[in-house]
Amino acid sequence: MAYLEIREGDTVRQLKILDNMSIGRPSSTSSPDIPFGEIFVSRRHGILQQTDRGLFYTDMKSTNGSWLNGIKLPPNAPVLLSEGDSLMFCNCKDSSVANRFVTLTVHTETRKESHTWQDFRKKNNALGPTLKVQLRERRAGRKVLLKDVNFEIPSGKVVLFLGGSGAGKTTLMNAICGYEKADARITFGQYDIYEDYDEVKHLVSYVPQQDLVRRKDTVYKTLANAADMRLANVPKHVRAQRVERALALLGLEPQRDSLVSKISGGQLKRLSIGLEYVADPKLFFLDEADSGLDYGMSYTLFENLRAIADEGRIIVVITHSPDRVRKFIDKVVVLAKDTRTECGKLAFYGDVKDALRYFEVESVENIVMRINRENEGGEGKGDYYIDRWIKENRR
Amino acid sequence: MNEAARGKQIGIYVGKCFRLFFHDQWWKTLLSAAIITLLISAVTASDMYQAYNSTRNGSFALICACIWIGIFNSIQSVCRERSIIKREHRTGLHMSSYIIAHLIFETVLSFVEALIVTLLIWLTNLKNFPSAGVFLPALLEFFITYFLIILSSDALGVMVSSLVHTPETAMTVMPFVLIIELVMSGFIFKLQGFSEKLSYITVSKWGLNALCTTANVNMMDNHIPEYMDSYLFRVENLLGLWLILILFVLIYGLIAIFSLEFIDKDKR
Repeated sequence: MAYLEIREGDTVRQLKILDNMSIGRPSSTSSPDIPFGEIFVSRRHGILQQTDRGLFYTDMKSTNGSWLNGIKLPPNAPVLLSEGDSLMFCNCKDSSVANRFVTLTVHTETRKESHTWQDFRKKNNALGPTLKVQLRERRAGRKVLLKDVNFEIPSGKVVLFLGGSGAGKTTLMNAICGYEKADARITFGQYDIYEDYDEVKHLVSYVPQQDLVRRKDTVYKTLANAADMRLANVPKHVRAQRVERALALLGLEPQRDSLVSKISGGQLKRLSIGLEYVADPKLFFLDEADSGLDYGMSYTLFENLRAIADEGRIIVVITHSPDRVRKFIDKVVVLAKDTRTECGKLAFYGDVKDALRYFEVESVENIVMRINRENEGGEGKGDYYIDRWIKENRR
Repeated sequence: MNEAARGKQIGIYVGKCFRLFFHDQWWKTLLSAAIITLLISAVTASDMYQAYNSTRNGSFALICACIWIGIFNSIQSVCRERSIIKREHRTGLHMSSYIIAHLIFETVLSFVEALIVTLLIWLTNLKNFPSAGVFLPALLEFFITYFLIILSSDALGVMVSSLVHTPETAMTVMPFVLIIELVMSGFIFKLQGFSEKLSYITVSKWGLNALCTTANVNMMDNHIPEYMDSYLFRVENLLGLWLILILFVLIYGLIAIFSLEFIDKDKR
């Protein structure tokens, strides 16, 4: 049974979720379905709508705003809620410094096929925070590795980082995550990833190329420990539910009691993703997510990633076989190495279809052929596309 | 902040250490401790615990075994998962929690191994085994000493494993550590000057003194060839030696924590 756990001061109550529920401060003229007496809650603060696609929350232009898992929500934009999500209303501009607040924790039944949500989300403009990258320069000593890389990724998108060897894909990923800082301003919603790193780090996940998991532990315990470590403030039963959800979403239920050393390469990769997924991040970075996986495993993996993105998260991936999973990718960032300066620059950012048109190719992999140098088996047009991108975006 | 507090992290990692141990052919570790002890017992003289030289020689061989057992327990424990720790550190793992959890696990493992070593030595030397120690039954005092030697060697292994980046480097460094422990113990060679000072940082020196104190080697043989102040059959002497071994555990643990604090600087 789907229900809400409502905390107001020391009081905790549970409420069954109905189809439409208004949230607000009661007055002589209005009596919301979920009333709060606190002054910082607006008369018509927000509404919860239970649909066949899931439970949605919309902030009704409230004075002090609504916060979902620590991130301020935009007004009038329905947001899909997941199991364990925490909505917060507070007397502050930043949820982490609130001294008075009320929270609603969502406990839902498993939702239907995630793929059906995407159209609904697009139609309803259900937006989460946007990732904005304004990278001026990334140096290693005197050498400039990356220069002038600017783009914005809206929530719910799967974005591919594409480029030849040494173009700076992993460097860019590390710079955005805050692992290897660049001369840049990287924002995620209201947060500056570099300046607010401690607050934002739990929202950002990085799945490296290597599968960094202990081989002699079980799949379930690996995920459970990750949840225990990173969701300490979340109730135990919610952590357990999140682990179960990760197992289900990533198709690892049959392997739950297996040792990590006994599972296949594809399952191991999915476990690596699950390790991050349980922590409920909003931004996922996956470096060569499907390296060493066959077509079937890779397809399943990207199907899982698509489902995760459809929950309102941003997925950024590097893969060397993008065409086999093209249908799951929304946008592409093309990086090329400028032969004049030997540093990586942006050659294109946009939808996959536009990218194919822009580079006049049939497949995504051929984009790499276009920009790679001739001695790397490419056509050596990297500089042309860098210049063209700069020129077209200057206008 | 959403990540677990230090205490909770210790609990999580202690559980992890035990699971990894039991999923990784744990019996091999304990069996090797038993085999090493039996091999040494087979070559020690029949008058061990009766004659001065035999007791010292036998005790030194047992010290070597305990140091070997301890270092082998942990020499690869940290470095083999260094990339994993680096990732976990970025997401909130405290290195103090990680090392303390390891040391808690290693304490339990060392305890069991010391139990095996003590019982096997006792069983193979039933006739001559001393009954009374300095202030406790000799069997118990020997057990405590073996336990502390194994544990401090184990902590030394954790420290080395934290300082190096790969298991290959750890296995390259280990023979040097063992050589220092054995040569600088002061048992094989008379040490003077710098080498004597170096011997103060060896587990073997203090461990040997503790074993010889409980065995009361100074009182062995009618003609005492060499009276050693370090083997004084006194409570304060034995407690002091044990304390030094405990201090080693703490110092090695602190160095391990400190070195891992810089793990984010590891190159990819």
